[in-house]
Formats: sequence, structure tokens, C-alpha cells
Amino acid sequence: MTSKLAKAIDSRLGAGVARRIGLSVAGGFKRYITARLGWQYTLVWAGLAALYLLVLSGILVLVYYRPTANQAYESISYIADNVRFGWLAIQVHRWATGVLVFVLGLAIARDFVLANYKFPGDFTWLMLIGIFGVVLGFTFTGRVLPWDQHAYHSTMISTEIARSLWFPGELACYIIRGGKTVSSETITRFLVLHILCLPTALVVLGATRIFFVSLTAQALDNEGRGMKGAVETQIARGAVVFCLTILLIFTGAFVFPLLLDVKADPRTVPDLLKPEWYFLPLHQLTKFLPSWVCALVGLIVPVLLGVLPFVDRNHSRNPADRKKCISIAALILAGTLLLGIVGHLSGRERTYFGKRVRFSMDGIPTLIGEESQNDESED
Amino acid sequence: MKVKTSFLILVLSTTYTAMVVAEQRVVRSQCESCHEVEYKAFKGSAHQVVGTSCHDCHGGNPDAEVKALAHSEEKDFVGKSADHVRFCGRCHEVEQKSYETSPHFGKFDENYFDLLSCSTCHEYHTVKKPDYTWFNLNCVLCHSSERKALEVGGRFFNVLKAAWEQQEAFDSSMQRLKSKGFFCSSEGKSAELVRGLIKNSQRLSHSLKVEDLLRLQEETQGMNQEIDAGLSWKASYFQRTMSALVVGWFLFAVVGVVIWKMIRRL
Repeated sequence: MTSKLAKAIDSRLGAGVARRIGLSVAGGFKRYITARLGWQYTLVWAGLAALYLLVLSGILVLVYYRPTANQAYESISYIADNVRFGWLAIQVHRWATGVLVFVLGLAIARDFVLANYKFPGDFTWLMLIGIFGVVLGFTFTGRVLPWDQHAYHSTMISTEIARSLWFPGELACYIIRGGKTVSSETITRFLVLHILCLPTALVVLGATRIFFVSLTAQALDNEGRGMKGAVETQIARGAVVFCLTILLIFTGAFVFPLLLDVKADPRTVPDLLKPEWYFLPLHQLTKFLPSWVCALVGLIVPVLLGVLPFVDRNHSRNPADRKKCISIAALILAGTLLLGIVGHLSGRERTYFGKRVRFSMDGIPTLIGEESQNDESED
Repeated sequence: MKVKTSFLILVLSTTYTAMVVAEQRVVRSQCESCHEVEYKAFKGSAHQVVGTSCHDCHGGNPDAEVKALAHSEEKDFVGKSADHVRFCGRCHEVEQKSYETSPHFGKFDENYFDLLSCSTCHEYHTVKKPDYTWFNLNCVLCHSSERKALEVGGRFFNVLKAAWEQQEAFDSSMQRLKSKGFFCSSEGKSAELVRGLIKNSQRLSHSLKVEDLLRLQEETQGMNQEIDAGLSWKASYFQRTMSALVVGWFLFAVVGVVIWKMIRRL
């Protein structure tokens, strides 16, 4: 049966093609891959689990969603209140987004530390950066759709940052917003990006990456062929990670729901406007640096990551031999984390060891007295 | 020349703004400077809470510093009113009309040697809202030996109190559901309608006619049931889905271990 299919494919596409496709797609099921085994290579399953939930919950929400400024918020509240599992779909969609971004961040860190970005993995590394960018695009376009206060004002501000670039700032801002301001036009074009363009990009990039990674693993596999049970164990690990991710997303949706703001009102700006956690470092950076610098940082970082395999000429894969590279990355990561934490705390009041501390919008703490009874700002 | 003119305009406008701000600061305490006792009583009253000030009821010029100007008749100054029901009825029209049909209207108050009026129960500047202490103090004061009258009054209090308590209970369960990701928008809208009805029947309750209360119960019953059904459905729905998740974790733990062991044995 399979040999007949292989012959049919080979006769149409050329000799040996069927074997290559078979190896790459079903390669995991053959018993002779030993490269790229272990828990660190199960992240793809976590990502796929989050993606699976995102697609499922996204379809459920999309069935009832109405993309106009007047009806978007009402349709979301209708879904949450009246559609079976509607509220859960919204919560799962938001949680799975966060988990997917986190998993992709981990995957980038893994490929960096284990030097998987080096030849022959440079193409897959580029695809990973591309996937990360596409997913951030998903979060950016998706956040405006519920049309709550946060959606409206944060999109106004972030498109304002795009405008601060000399060229093509003004034009880009106009095109993204679909007019001079964020409106129904913005919702429809963001929806088209969110459910049509970006998914296509993600599927193409994701499928190509899995295809490439699988072939790269075979190319790297030049030792210990036929280690018995290794592949089955890897698939079992993947299954465990897959189920665990799904359960974690559901638990998060139940225990720590991510709530929406009230309906968007252009006239009143909320007191504390914070982006999702993965945009917090960049958000905090805008408070210290002019916004055109931040826009440039946002453009340059992915480019730098992309050219990394072609700039880094050190052939060693051992982290101990790449001290310079690893320490620079660690410094940048520490800086980003610090910015993120400061961004999270800025504008809030916290109690540490019975002392009340207020963080300014720049994140500078000032002592404002002893612990008080009501702790309302802890939201 | 242009610079000089704009500088002059700037100085003048700043001075004017400063004067206006300074004046507004003084205005607040003009009535208080003479009527200290009344102002103290007025502080924290139901009227003050909603932002009503002295001249809204008494007229006159609150900006004037001289008594003759402050009590100016040109500015419709009304001091003490002979007819309280009409005096309050200028704003509380519904309450006035309702009160005029009540058994209280036109009766003589033997404790104070005066006609029964709004201030008999609600007091003058403190403007009290009805609650249980208020009920005990005011109604029992006159009707201590009249069981029937007390029963009618008690019924009004009980029905209105129960109506508000139910709304508070709805409120707290709505807050709980909202913190879980529900919006409860239709329940919120219905609750707002019911609250309007309760407030209206509070206004009408000055007539002390039991029919008004019965109508309130009739009107709100259906809506309350709807709200209750919606909220409890959501709460139980949440609980059931949550228990499905717990089962999911359990299955993951048990089945996962079994399958894992099977695969390792291969």
C-alpha cells in the first residue's frame, strides 16, 4: 500500500521524493532518529496545544462576533453570557495567547542556548523568529477586537508610536488605523488580518519549520541509529506536554480569568493603561526614550535575531565555549526582564514588609507610610 | 508692540482667573458664616450627599456677604416655610402628591403642636432617609398603642427592605460572576429596571397605601425571578465546567501514568 503510494508520488515528482516526504513527516515514527530527543524538544507540542485551543475557541467566538464599533463589545458580552462555553472560549483564547507567546520565547531561548540556530538550523531559526513575529501580530490585532477601553486606548497609543517614525510613520499609522483615528475601520481590518492573513502566514511558516526541523534532525542523526524505544518515548513526552498545556490553559482560565475593561469610550482615558505582559518591556521603554527610538528598537531586535546565525561565526555548540555570546544575551534578557517588572509595578501601590510603597509612572518607588487596611490598587 | 499686547492680555487673564478662583472659595462658606448650627446639621444629610446646597431650597444669593443681599427677595429667598409639604414638593412632586392622599396629611401633631409634614419624620436640615432605627423612633413615637397602624408601617418597611436586600444579593453574585469573566449584561439591565421601580414605589409609599406595595411586588416578581434564574444558571454552569476540569486533571494523572509506563516498557 505505502510502496504503491510512494511509487505514484515518485513517478510524478521525481525519484526519491516520496522517501524524503515520508521521512520528514513520518520521520518521528521511524526508529532511527536519535538527534533532537528529550524534554527540551517537546516545546512544539506545547505550542501546538495552545494553537489548537486558540483555533477552536477563536472559531466559537467568531461565530457570534460582530466587527463594528457599536456592536463588538455587546457581541462579546453576549457570547460570555448566553453562548454555551462562550465565557470559557473567551478566557481560553486569552490565556492560550499568553501561553503561546511564552512557549515561543522559551523555544527561542532554547535554540539560542543549544546553538540550534547555527548551520544547518539557520533557516528554521529564521522561521521561528518569523513565527514569533506573526504571533505578536496576532496579539496586537486581536486585542482591539473586543472594543473595550483598553483595546481602544492602547491601540491609539501604539499606533501613535508607529507614527513617530520619520518615514513611513504618518502613512503607516493612517493605514493601520484605517483613518485618522481608531474606529470601526480599524476593527474590520484587524479582524481580516487576525483571521485571514496572519493564520495563513502562521500555517506556512509553522508547517515549513516542522518540515525543516524534521529533515535537519535526520541530517544531524549520524550516530546510534535504531536506539530502541527512543522515538516512542519522545512521542509520549510530547503527548504529556500537550495534555499538560491544555489543562494549564483551562486552569488559568478558571482560576485567574483575564477580564475585559468596560466598553470603549474615546472621551475618557483609563488611569492605568498597561499592555499585555509581553509588551510591558517595550511599553516601559517608551517612558524613558523618545517613541521613535522605541519604534526603531521594535524593528531592529527581530532583524538582529534574524542575522544572528550569519554573524556568529563560532562553530561550537557548547554553551561553555560561547561565553561572550551567551553573556551578551543574558544581559539583554536581564534588562528586558527588569524593564518588564518595572513596567508592571509602575503607577501602582504595593505593601512590602508592612511598608506602603508607591511606584511612579517611571517605576521609581517612594515610601508613603505604614500598611493600610484597604489594598485596592492590587489589581 | 505685539509682544506687549499679548503680555498684557496674559497678565489680565491670569488675574481674572485668580479672582474667579478666589471668589469661588469664599462662596462656599457664605451661609455657614452665620448659620453654623444649620450648616453642621446639613453636613452628611441625604441632600448634601447628592450635591444640593442651601440656596437650592432657600433661594437667596449665596455669594453675598451682607445679610440683606444674601436674603434678597429678588433672588426668591424663602426662609422658614409655613407649608412644608409644598416647600419640599417643589422638587419632590411625586412624594407630595402621594403624601396628600395619605391618612397622615392634614393631621395635627400633638407632640409638636403643629401639622404633620415632611419634617415631622425626615427632620429639617439633617434630611434623614428611612431605616429601622428611624422607623422605631418616628412611627412608634405616635403609634405606640395602635397595633394596626404599626403593622401597616412595618409592612412598608419590610417589603422595601426585602426588595433592596434582594438587589444587594443580586449585586454581590453578579460581581462574583463578573470576576470570573461573565458580563451579566441582561441581568444588570433588568436589575437597573427593578431598582427604578423600587425607587418609584418608595416615592409612592408616602401615601401609606398597601396597594402600591402589592403592585411593586407584582411588577418586580417576574423580573427578579428572571435575574435569579440567569445568575444561578451561570453559577451552576461555572461549577459544572470546573468539575469537568478537575476530572480532566485526575484522568491526566491516572491515565497518563499508565500510558507512560506502557510506552517505557516497549
